[in-house]
Amino acid sequence: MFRQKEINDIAKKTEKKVNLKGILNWLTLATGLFYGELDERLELRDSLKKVLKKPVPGHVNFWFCFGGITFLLFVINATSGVMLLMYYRPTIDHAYESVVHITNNAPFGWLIRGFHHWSANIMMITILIHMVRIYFYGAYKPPRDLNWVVGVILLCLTLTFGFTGYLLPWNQISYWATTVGTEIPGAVPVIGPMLKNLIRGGPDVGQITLTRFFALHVIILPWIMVGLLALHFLILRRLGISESL
Amino acid sequence: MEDITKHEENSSNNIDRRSFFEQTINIGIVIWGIIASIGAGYTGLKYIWPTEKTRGGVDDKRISLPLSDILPEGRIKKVILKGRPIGVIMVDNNVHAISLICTHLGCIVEWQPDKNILFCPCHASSFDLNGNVLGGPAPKPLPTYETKIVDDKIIIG
Repeated sequence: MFRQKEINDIAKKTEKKVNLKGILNWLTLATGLFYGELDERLELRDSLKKVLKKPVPGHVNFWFCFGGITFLLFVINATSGVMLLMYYRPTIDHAYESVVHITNNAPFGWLIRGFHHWSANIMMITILIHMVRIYFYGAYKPPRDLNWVVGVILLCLTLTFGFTGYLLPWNQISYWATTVGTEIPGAVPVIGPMLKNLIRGGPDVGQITLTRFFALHVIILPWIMVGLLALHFLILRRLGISESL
Repeated sequence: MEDITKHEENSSNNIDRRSFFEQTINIGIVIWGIIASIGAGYTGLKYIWPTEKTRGGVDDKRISLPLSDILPEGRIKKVILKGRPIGVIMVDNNVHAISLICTHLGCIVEWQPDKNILFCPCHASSFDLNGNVLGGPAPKPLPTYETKIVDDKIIIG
């Protein structure tokens, strides 16, 4: 009798343990990349620690943050942009209507559009501060000159992002801004008119222009941007943060 | 090296200032992360969740059309009610309003006036004018809608 009871107790205890372990095992699906069984195999936590806990030089101050802030704003723009795509319609008949719909009808649509608008605007300011910081610290000098070049290409891409995104609401200001903006490359000697025609997809700003700018804004530019950002960060990691003056 | 391991052993038993701050900050980050992801998840889900508002405008509860649209008898008039296609057919002085979405896999059924059946071109289900399944893989009858004749108009729904 006594023995039987003991066995039962042990069985109960192990059962409880198994259940708890089962729950923990289930949780590893969510957290397991860094803790528990998956981490034992992949050892991601240690490698991540190396990346995240890399010491920075002592002279790093607040002004060194603006590159990172710019990247954060890019990520905000990418996510809010994907959210806007859930309702936006890139046709000249429905574009404006759909933007009004996002702003007025979709729950939190005003917030998401606001995020997209303001982080795009603030991004230009943070890029400017980032560049000024690099300039006055002399961080553009060799061997970091290549990263300066990549950075300038990234600036041009951001400006193109702004220019193409400006047309997408298809209201008066965006229409005329694009008309004027595409007229400017038309002033280039010899190839100007051809260039203007190519950008507009025709003689005037119309449906093809909107389609083209939409494709540039949501597919072509983002992927070029992601690739160049990866290069920008890779060079930074390889060469390290510049010395203080 | 030995000193470092010693330090780590100490910190696991008797917490020191550095690891206390580290842990506090980590817990703070985790709590912030949970709150932020709940907030962002709620906002995002609410934003994409389809409602009458996000679909743009209120749906018509009922629809009316002139009687002449379905005359002579046996002719089908297709209308959209609450975003769904409905066929209005008059046979033997009875007006039938019937859903045209096949209950099998959602194809649009076609009206065959010579046989008086609604036939699905996808998998050959057939229905009579009351929606009952006559043949084929359809599991349920087609939903029908109430009709009312007011003067020279038919009101459906």
